[in-house]
Amino acid sequence: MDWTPKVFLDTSALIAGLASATGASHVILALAEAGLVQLVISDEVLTEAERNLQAKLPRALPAYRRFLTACPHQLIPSPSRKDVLMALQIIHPKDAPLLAAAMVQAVDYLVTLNTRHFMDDPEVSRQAGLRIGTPGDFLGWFRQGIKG
Amino acid sequence: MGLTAVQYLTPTKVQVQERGAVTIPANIRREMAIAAGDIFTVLCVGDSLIMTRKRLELPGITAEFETIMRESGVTVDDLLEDLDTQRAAYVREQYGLDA
Repeated sequence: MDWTPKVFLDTSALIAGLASATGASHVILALAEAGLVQLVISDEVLTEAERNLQAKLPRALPAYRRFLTACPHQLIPSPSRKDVLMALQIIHPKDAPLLAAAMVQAVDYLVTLNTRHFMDDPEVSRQAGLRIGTPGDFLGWFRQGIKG
Repeated sequence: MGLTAVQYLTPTKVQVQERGAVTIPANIRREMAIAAGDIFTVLCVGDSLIMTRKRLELPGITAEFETIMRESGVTVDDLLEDLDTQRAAYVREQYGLDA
């Protein structure tokens, strides 16, 4: 058995995991660096994280970039306009490109702290065909997986 | 490296000794070539502990973040609060969507 789930991280979870050692987001990043989960990051997530840190915590940018070098990850390009238009049928326009990117990659889990758009309506997860949850939700699912 | 058969080898009970010491069963030490003095990182995932040989950069990077945040008076919530605005800008630039 070789089980290394593909986890797509939203910008919120990436930043929270880097900025705080106490939350579930941090554990996910540690699992990714250890090679126990496959981290998937989109061009959009990198752009948002970079812009956000540039605006609010520019001194942390070198540490952020060091993590991306240290942690194995799959960087995926922006989804096509056609894929985004399909995702628009499922979720708020602001989050359609991110959802489309995760759908195209057929990841095992989309992890986000944005519960309002991604989780409040269970139809989003169902129609996208993706598991979607908070970092804590993901760790619960991962624990079940490693227990077999 | 994922979770391979080696990690699933013979589930075995171990008991925590004085000062937290735990003996890794001999068959697992043999299979994984674990020797005295080897260093592991321990990850806590809920009620499970995962030990990995990988030396992680993340703890040092997060400690650096926390220091910079403290010195700058910025909290995690501050960092997260405007992500919606960043996202709306990205979606507008890339796809012309008015979100």
